[in-house]
Amino acid sequence: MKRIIILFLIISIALLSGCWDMEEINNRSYVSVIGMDLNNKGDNGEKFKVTYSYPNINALGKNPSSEQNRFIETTSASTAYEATRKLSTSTDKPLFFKNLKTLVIGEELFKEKELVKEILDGLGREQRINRKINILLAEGKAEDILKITPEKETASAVGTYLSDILRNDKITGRFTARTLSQVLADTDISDAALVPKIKIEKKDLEISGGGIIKDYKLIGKIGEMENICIAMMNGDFNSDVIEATYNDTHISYAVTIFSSSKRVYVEGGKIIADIDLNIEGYLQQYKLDKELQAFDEKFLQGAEKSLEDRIKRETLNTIELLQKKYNADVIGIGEWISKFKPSLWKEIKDNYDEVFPNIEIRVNPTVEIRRTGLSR
Amino acid sequence: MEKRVSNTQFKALIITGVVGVGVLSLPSSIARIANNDGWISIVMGGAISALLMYLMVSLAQMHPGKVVFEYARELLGNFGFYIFAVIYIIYFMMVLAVEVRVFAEVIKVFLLENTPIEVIIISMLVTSMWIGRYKIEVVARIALLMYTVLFIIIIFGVIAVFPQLDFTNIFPLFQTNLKTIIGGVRETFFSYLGIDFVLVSLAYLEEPKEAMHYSMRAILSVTILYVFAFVLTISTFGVSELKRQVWPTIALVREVDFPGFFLENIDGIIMAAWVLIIYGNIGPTAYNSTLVLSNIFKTKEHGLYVLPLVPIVYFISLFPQNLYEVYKNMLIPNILGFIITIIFPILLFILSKIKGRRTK
Repeated sequence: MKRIIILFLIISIALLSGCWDMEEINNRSYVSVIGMDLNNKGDNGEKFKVTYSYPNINALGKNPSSEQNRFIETTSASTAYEATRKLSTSTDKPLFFKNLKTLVIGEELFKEKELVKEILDGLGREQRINRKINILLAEGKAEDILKITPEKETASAVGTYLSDILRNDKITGRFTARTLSQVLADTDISDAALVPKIKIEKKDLEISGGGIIKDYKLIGKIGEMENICIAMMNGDFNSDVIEATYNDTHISYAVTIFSSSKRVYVEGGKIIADIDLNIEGYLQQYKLDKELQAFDEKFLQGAEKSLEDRIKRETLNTIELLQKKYNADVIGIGEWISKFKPSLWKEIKDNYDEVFPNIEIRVNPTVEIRRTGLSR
Repeated sequence: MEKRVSNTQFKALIITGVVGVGVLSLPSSIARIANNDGWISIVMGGAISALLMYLMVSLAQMHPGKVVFEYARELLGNFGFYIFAVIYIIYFMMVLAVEVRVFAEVIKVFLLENTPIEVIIISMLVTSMWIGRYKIEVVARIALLMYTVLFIIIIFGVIAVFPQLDFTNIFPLFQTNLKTIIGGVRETFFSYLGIDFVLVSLAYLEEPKEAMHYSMRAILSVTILYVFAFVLTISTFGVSELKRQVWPTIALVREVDFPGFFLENIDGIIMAAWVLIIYGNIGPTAYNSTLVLSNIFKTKEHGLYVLPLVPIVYFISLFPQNLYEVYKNMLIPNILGFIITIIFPILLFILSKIKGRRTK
């Protein structure tokens, strides 16, 4: 008996050990960006055109054995997951999605409500895809965006170029990076979300502004200034330079500390939203002159006032745009009401689309110039 | 009978016995009923469990040095005892089956995509039910070990998810009526099952007088853990997204993404540690079920029943066709659990009071 067991154990070594099921790291294709477009030809019900971009691992490292630093594959399919399977017939290495960083969705596709819903549901269900992937709106076709090779892209960061730019939203308010889980959460509450917009600018990529998603489809695009305003009202704003004119001269003002707070209340049957923006920062540029300028109470107060006016004007313009043109609450007023005024929310939530354009939104920016740089 | 379990081990036994696969789905199943006020249901469920625990500990203290199945036979008579023992054994089988099935489903989704679920179930069952062969002190020592693992995971997990929490998602508070909240308490019930293990373990305690103190602390820890799970998941997802999740607690870990590629996709690590927690949860239950069997058949040794139990649990666990049915069928262990953790101890408590008075 003992011998049989020993024999069995010895045989099992041959079966169990070894790397017969191994997958070497350079035999996998780590997809870093997916682009999705509407398939215009639409044959066989293949509604999507899916583009995958993944780094060529052989081109990385100290002694690259290959020149081309990434591969791009495009296929049409009826779902994104079918595309993966379809591609496995034409790529030598299995596609691997754990390191996926960015999903770029083409403008035309984003206008199709049902298809966007399908994509979002698919992403939420898929366990191999991280929920922290960034969602980007492509101006034009996502495929073209992926095919651009940015000059600044170094070999070490192939494919993460887009997500690296998106990380810059810590130092600028011109776009606001949005991950899958944030987009899902935004659409759940107020049915509206904002995703950053990417476009090709002189053979290079540029992320700026954003697209407004309402009811799971793209209804409009906004520019950089509007995005700064929306980010400020949402409290997503971190830092940027704001400019204003004081005494016919440009003032450049860098924001270092920012906070915002909302308050919504009913007064005389009208819903009023107060948004306070508290901005602190330093003076970056004014105008060289022999007399002292910046160390002057009148100047500081005046400059603060003109900056406040500028911010107020721009935010009110943005609010006007959101309320009257797009009717999309991307500034979180509905969310605030549902959280802190639940009884009011019960009354208005069913016809919030009619309520939102008529909410009176007041913006009160407070700008403080804390420092004036190195010169007085 | 020897006193072989220390108080800390006793506390760890309760915690690992209660915390199982329930915590994975608890936040979303409660949010589906009680929305943002789910944490109230969890706290109420904890309070009810504490009451039951009080009852059970007092019951066990009335019969020092005896396991519940021994004095149940004296109190209920042979026939009554057999009825309860059968309910007990079915209940343990069902609980084990649900635990191991949900565990296998989770592992299959997150770790071993290509492994057949049968293989995951059988390997988990054989290794974890093996604990049931040993004496209580071994079970208790393993419980303490797993308790430490659980503790480390929680601290690590909370720190990792902390930067992305938005605590305003907990609002609005107190919007749900009392009836719905009580409905939510019923939903938490499965997650609190397992407290009945005190009826067995208390008999081996070194200092049974301290038992009440430690068992209450254990229930408090479990309740805090569940409230934490709920608050963290709802702060991350918001209530609507939380309701959509099957296993929000794991989804929470998948949200972790520290900048600079430093820490992401850590679900694999957490899942690996998760295996140990389920191991610590199945072990005591297996021990319990073999103990019932040895009391039914009046054998001295209980370890020999483990092996026959494995295939039975295996088949029960494979009975549901899909994950939806797994969660639908949880009703059966819930009903049995109601009998075991509520009706049975109350009945025994009353009977021992009457008997105690008569002997006086």
